[in-house]
Amino acid sequence: MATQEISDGSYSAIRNKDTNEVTIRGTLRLNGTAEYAPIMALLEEALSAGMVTVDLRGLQFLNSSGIAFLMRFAVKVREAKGSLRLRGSKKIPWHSKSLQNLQRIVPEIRVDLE
Amino acid sequence: MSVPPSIIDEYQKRIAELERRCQDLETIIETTSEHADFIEAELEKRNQFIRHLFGRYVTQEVVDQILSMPDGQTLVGERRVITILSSDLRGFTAMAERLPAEDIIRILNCYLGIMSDVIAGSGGTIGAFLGDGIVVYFGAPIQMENHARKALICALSMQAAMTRVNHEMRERGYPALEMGIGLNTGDVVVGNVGSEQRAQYGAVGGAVNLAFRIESYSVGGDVLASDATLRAAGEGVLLWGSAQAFPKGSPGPITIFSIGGLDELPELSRRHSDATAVELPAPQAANIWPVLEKTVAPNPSPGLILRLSAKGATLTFLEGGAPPSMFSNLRLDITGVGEAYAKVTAHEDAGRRFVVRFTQHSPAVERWIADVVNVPSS
Repeated sequence: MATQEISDGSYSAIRNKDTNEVTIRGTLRLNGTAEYAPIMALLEEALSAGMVTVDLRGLQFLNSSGIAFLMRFAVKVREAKGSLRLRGSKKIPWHSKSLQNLQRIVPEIRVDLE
Repeated sequence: MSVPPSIIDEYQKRIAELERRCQDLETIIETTSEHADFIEAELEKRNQFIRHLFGRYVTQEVVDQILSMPDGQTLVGERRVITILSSDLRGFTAMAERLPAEDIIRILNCYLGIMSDVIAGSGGTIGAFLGDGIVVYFGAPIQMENHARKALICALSMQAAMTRVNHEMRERGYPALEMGIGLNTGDVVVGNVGSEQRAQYGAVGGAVNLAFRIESYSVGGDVLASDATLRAAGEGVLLWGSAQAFPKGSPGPITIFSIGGLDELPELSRRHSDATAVELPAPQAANIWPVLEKTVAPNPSPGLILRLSAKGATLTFLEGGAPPSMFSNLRLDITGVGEAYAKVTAHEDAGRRFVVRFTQHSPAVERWIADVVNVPSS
């Protein structure tokens, strides 16, 4: 399985190149656009295939810079005329609240809460 | 001059694009703020939960200070001087053997509940509940200037609160409880000790062991303190007395002080004398065994009980000889009455007589005492 990974101990973002799925786990509290840039680059590479799934079921915490980063990625999906599927967890309270909000910017985004 | 339609069209497209970006930005700001509000609210809920849970062991002030420090900095290992308070119920193990399990839990919860409130109010941090014993730290996890004095005030307040505990005990038809307290001040290592799965904030070091040892010298109602605690506590400490002891692990004998109160808190000062003490018209014979490390020595020495009170007695050995050492434990077989356990609390008459406090006695002995000193048995 070909993978590409970014991690720092508190979080990991792994792209499975075969399925084009990006799995983000742990706690993401990076500061601003600059610190989120490497993960954005990983997602953009995945988006180059047109369809990308981002699995956030293991992402316990995301700060406000992180949700803004996901929103910006959603805009890029729309501009690239790609498709995005987000997988979240019903057990993590902010998933139900904020992941659905991404559909306010790009209604076509599919959000699956499991 | 008219603008070509193609340019107008191009500008309209750009304006539409800018409007859309502007709308995107507004949506991003709005949803980001909503997310931030949501996680703030979640964080506050968690903080409240931690405050509630942790607040049962330390004061709200300590919880707030710890929550405001990044990564629980205060809980890493650190060497510092603190005051350790160790308390224990006297004779509770024997009582626990006689009562049903649910009664024991009810009694402990009542006692520990009242004591926890007193400790939190005094600024102490509960290190552990050890059955009926409580270990409390003053000066950890948060540094405290006057930790020895605060610990003394806490100990006196805990003894005063025993009135409330025993009122509850009477209401529920349980026997009265007595508590002994030991205090020591010294250098310890504080921090989280344990494994990843289970850790506990605690203090380790000789000073902690000595606090336990001092507490083991106490009888019901006592607040005993080491010289180090007394010196650190400052002026105005009312003493009932002092005695030399040579605890295991100590390089030499140490002086233990019995604390009666504090000048500035007369409401917490206690009476020293045992008003119920009576001289026996005819001394009562008793066999006396030393108890060492919870084991009764094989050979008793014959003795006489000269004075008796609701709480203790004054004895002498029939055949003379040195009195049992201070704070040592004895088993008494009171001839024709029954068995009792006691602790030596004073030497009198140049060591020819010694005073003991009962730590445990049979119902027959309790009835005999009540008869002699004319107080109702509990």
